[in-house]
Amino acid sequence: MKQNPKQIGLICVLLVTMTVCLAVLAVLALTTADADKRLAERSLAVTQRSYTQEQAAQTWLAEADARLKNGTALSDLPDTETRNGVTVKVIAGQEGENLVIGLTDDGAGSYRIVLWKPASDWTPDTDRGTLWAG
Amino acid sequence: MRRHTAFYMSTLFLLLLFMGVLAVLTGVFSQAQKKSAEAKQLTAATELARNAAEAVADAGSRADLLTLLQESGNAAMDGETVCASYDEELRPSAAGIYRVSITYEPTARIGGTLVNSTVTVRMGENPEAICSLSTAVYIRGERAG
Repeated sequence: MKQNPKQIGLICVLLVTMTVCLAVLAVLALTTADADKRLAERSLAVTQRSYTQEQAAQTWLAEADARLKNGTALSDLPDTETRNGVTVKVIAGQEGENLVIGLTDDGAGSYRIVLWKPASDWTPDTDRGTLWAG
Repeated sequence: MRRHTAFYMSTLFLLLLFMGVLAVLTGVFSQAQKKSAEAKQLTAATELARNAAEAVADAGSRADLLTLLQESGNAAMDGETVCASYDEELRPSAAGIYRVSITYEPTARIGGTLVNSTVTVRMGENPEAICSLSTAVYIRGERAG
């Protein structure tokens, strides 16, 4: 009759171990799936922002081409700047993600695209504290 | 006899407790499986939408777009919208579960044609879109349609 407490103890330990293992697995599965979903949502958001910016850039190109066809010089396009003979337009996006477009004159009243580059606003952190006071 | 009863009662209680915990954990696993499936769908839909947007950028016209997407009879015109289907592995398939709809709206400009396009990805016959994105392409000189 003294066996009974041992038996229930053994069953109890077995069940608790199984429960803990299953609980750990369940939490790991849930956190992994949640992270996967958040990553997928973030990837979609980045893709959507990228193509919205592309849309704005292509619309600007159409307007720029129309102005050039009407006799406006490339360097006179509004909201642009000239760098080393290249007319540069920055299409501002969300979260500091910009699209930089560079155009040159193709000599036939239109443009040639020489630059189409995503660029991010980045401000270096200059305040690093005093490393050595001397 | 009492000890036997106590043992059986304890075992029964433990088993009931274990079954309760198992029921909760089954719910957690089920939720994890659902989220994982949603993540897989969203990733696939984003990939398909990106591919379709690049096809719009390459196409010179709506007919070109249809030709670019056409493979194994998976693409067709639905009014003015180009529709393409893909299977779970994102292979072109006429009976695919992913349905990609691409609008192609050319607007004549002074120097060419500006084409605005919206790509929408749906799952099967579900009218709710998994994802959608807008893009545009400017085609110089030619007339797109």
